[in-house]
Amino acid sequence: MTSDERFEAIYRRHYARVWRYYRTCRVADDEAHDLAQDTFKRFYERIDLFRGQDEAIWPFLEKIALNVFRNWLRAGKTAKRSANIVELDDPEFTYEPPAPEGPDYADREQAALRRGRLHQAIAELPKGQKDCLRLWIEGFTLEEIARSLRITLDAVKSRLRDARKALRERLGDQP
Amino acid sequence: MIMKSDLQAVLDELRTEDRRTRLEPPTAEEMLAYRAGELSGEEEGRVRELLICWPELLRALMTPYPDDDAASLPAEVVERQWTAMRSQIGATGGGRVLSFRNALTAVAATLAIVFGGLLWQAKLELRRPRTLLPQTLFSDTQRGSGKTETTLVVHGDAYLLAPVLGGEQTFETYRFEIVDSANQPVWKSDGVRRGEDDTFAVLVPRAFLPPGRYTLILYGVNGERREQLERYSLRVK
Repeated sequence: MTSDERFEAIYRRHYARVWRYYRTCRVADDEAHDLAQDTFKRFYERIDLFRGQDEAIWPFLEKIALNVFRNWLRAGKTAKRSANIVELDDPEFTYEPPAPEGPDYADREQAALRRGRLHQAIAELPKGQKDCLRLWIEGFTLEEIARSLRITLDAVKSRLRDARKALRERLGDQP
Repeated sequence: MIMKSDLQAVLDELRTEDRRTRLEPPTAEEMLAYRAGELSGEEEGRVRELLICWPELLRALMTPYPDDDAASLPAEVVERQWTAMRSQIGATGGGRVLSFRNALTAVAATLAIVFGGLLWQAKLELRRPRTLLPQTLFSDTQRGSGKTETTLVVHGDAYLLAPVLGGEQTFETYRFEIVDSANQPVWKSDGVRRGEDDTFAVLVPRAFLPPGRYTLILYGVNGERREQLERYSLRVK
């Protein structure tokens, strides 16, 4: 089997999975295809370095895929990232006011002040709480946060509880 | 009341600030080592901080490889992507075709090797000691009826000749002249002193003596008077 034949076999077998990998990373469909293509292009250039069995190819492909994704993010191509990615189970965090009918400068001013205070309050949280909170807002599940930060699930729950409490105390019933 | 949109906006601000101050995300190697728990405490902390600034990478890192069942794409989509890939890599079904960039890299590397080799060779050449071995010459009268000429051996860019002069007569100085087979002078020396062993040291640049037969003529000089003393028949191959 030539290098090209081997590459084609690997491509056909793994392309959908690599595309799916990027989709799981919340990359838009067309860009997931672009990234998957880039991944396989790089793999093609390095195929001679892969000496393992084709079944055990994922660690090799994953490293390439991570690098491709990293470079893509560095280049700032994140415009298509979905904005609405937060899935919170706490009603307090999911409240959304109805959209205003027209521009209300007083409301905008209020919102800016509110966000400024929130920003300050989050910035002043202890690092462990802040990290958990940020990942939680990013949409990570509690289990994912635990694995990501290499801490226990209980530690995640505890830190998030403390963070919420600190924010409530800090912001009180201010609008 | 904390609103989701406020949280999202603040999160975006924090991410932007972080990325402005910490420009580079961790490398793939660092991320994989982080996941495998292979980093030291300090390194792990540094990579973790970077990953929190780049949560997309953290998510990718924590994403398991999709299993076959989950990875469904219509066959025609894969076929279309494969066609596009083939045109990109230039796969023809035969051997691999070098991409333009790879070919350019190969040419550049070859040139670098060639010029590097030439440079190295030139340096070696310059460093090599240049010892000229003197070639003793006996005059035609000294050699008798045997060989009639001396063949010069090349040792570099010049010949170091050591003609032997017999006889007791001395001169203020001595001069040499080389003539070709047509008796035309091809080279002349300045004044040369006679050595204690009755030889001279005569350095003749190789360029003056292309292959052929020559005669080295030795003159003794006293003031304006010049007297031919010996003739040495030479051959250059």
